[in-house]
Amino acid sequence: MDEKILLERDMNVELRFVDKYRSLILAISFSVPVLWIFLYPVLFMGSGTRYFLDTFAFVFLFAAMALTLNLEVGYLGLPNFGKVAFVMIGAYSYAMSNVAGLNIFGIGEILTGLIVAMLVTGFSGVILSLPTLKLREDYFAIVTIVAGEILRLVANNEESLGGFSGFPVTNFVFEEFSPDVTMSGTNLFFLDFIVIIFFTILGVSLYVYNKNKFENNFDMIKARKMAIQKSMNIQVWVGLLLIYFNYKLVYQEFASISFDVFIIVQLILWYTLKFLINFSSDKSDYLVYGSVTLYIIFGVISISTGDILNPGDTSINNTNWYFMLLTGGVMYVVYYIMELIYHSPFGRALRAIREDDTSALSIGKSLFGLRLRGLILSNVLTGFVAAFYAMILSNISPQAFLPLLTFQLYIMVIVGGTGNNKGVIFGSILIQILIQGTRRLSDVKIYYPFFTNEDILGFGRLVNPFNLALIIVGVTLIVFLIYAPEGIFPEKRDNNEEYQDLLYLLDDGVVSGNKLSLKILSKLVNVDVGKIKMED
Amino acid sequence: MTEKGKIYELDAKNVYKYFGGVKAVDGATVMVEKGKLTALIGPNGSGKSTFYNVITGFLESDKDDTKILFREENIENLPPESIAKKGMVRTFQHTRNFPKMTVLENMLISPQNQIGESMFWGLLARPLWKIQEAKFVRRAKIILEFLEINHVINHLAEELSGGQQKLLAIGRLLMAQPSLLLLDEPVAGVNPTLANKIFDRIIELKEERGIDVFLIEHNMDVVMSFSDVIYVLADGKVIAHGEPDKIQKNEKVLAAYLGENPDDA
Repeated sequence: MDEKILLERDMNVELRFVDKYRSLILAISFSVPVLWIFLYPVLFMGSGTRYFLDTFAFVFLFAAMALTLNLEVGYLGLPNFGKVAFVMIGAYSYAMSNVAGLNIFGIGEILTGLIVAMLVTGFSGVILSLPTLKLREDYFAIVTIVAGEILRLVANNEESLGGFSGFPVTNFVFEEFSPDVTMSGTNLFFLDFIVIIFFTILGVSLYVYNKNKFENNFDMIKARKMAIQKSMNIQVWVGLLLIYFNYKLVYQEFASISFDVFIIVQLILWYTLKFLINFSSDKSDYLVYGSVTLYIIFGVISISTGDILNPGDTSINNTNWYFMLLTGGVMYVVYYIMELIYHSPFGRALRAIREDDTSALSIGKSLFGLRLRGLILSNVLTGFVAAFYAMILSNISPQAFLPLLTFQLYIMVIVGGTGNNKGVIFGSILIQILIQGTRRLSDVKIYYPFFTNEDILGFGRLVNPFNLALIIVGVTLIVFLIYAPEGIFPEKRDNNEEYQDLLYLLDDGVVSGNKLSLKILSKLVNVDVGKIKMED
Repeated sequence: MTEKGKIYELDAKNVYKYFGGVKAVDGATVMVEKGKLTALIGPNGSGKSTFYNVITGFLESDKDDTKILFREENIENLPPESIAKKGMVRTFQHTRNFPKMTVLENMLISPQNQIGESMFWGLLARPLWKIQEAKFVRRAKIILEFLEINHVINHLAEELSGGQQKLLAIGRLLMAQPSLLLLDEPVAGVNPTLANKIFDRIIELKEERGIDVFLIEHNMDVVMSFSDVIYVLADGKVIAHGEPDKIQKNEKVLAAYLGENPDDA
């Protein structure tokens, strides 16, 4: 038996055009009108950048919440209709910890608040699941929806929980800056040049190193794609760190946006390269080096001439920009953890339970234990995200946590693709922009049916676009449930490839990764790595 | 009851299960001897599947004098997952794979003691469980090759034909490295050629790998030709047990199958 031969792909079956590019067609046909709604206020109403940044902050936070919901619905198959209850617990515990001024071990009020929010939400998840997890799925749904409502009503009437008016929440990003300072595109210094060039070189050298390593075991395209992915994973973390240090050290005095933009642009560049490698496999190296060189040249020229977004001052609002980046980072952290889970045996066991719990039980999987762990993980992350949600709301009250929030998250998961993290993020972007964009538009009533300022058809009927958006979202959900219940991006079905890739670990007799870390890990888990390799 | 000099894999004594007034299993006793392919037969509604559900922990026996020993260890009142972890795994009458997962993923779920299945190590000890995982992939490919369904390894389980699903269900059990397989109608609804093939595989398992098999089957041809010991269940009671030749001649069994009252015979 030759294990090195890649699994034959029977995917070369001739598919109809519509089936082959189904996801792409659906995605484009939905994003074009939504993009129109998003751009409308800027193009025709003269809105500033604060609208963009705020919308994106909401998009990122809702995407992060939808990702945690996806863990429950998409991985575990547990219909948790009380998601809003956990968001509420997280937001309230962060706010209350801040109001009380909690500061454990001197790590700061914000970190303490985050930790309190995560612990309290995770723990309340355990309390709710202990009696309900043994229920059948439909009863679980009923109990969770009731729990959310009870919690909201209690908070509404209980004075110690702030009552009807709730708590004010301080947004630490907004506290550190005065809110109406705009950033300039020009203040870039020698240090920034060094950091950007160092960052780019780091990306390229990671790519080259990993490419050489992977090419021993995989075919060329695959090795290069994996190398880009590995390089990108590290670049994202380094990029987040750099932006943070930049924010802490440099921008306190000289607000400048170029540095952040360059890091984001570089990540987008690498992401595009990963797709481009499909089309030019044998010249992919030139592609990578060429575009990275172009990127550096473009960067040096545009920075040194001080013309990157606008000459002189940009109108980008300082605080909103950083809060948006922060929420983007929060979403990336949640997404990263979700992907780790999906591709780990833990996530596989969760999906097995979703598929057939009796069968999973008969093969020795503890249903209760796995479900409980999945819910704890999901709730801890929900608490983490909810703390930031409280910050963006700036004042939390029970009215902010209506059951509608749960259903919004559900629509995002269903439209994007249940069980597919990238799909869920895409769905969140669509739905959230539709809702936030039309909320903005509802300041000026617009004419039906073309969303225009002028009454073209002579109907003379003004509508509130926000109300219209809710109708559109509802209809979209029904259409999706009937015609595409698996969403725009269905769950992946090519997971086998990565299992196949693992076989090189056995073939070469070498252990990937750091040998020292492996030794430490095997001590911790009490497993002998040598023994794992030998026994069969 | 136990005879000396014989090792029993499974020793289930006095299993009772009543559903309301219906006596589904009424004091049945079955012993599976090591190295002998044991079959449980009986007309529809005689309590075979219920018997399975009781011994694998999905249902509880209704009387106190029940004693279920697996490798001389009491497994009564244990939850199903603990029984499976001890090495006794089962299939279901209606094949229950994980439909929206690939065949390989279906196989990889089964192994016990996976490092990556704990929440913390799954996230933190990636390099470690990857090596273990590679080992499981290799084992899965060997088993799929043995069952002759390795050409569908990339398909989703729901896309397989009925016979392939049955084979996959057996393959999933083999991944768990069990010592006793309980097969609930492994060849129901399968064409005779494939049925013979499945039984050939089962015999191979028993002889080459030392895995014991205890099965429920309605297909008399294959049961009579392949099994070593047969238990006959009727109305929740074991009415006969022994070698196939003896069972074929047993009047009670014939009566039970032909629908006569055994007391008249």
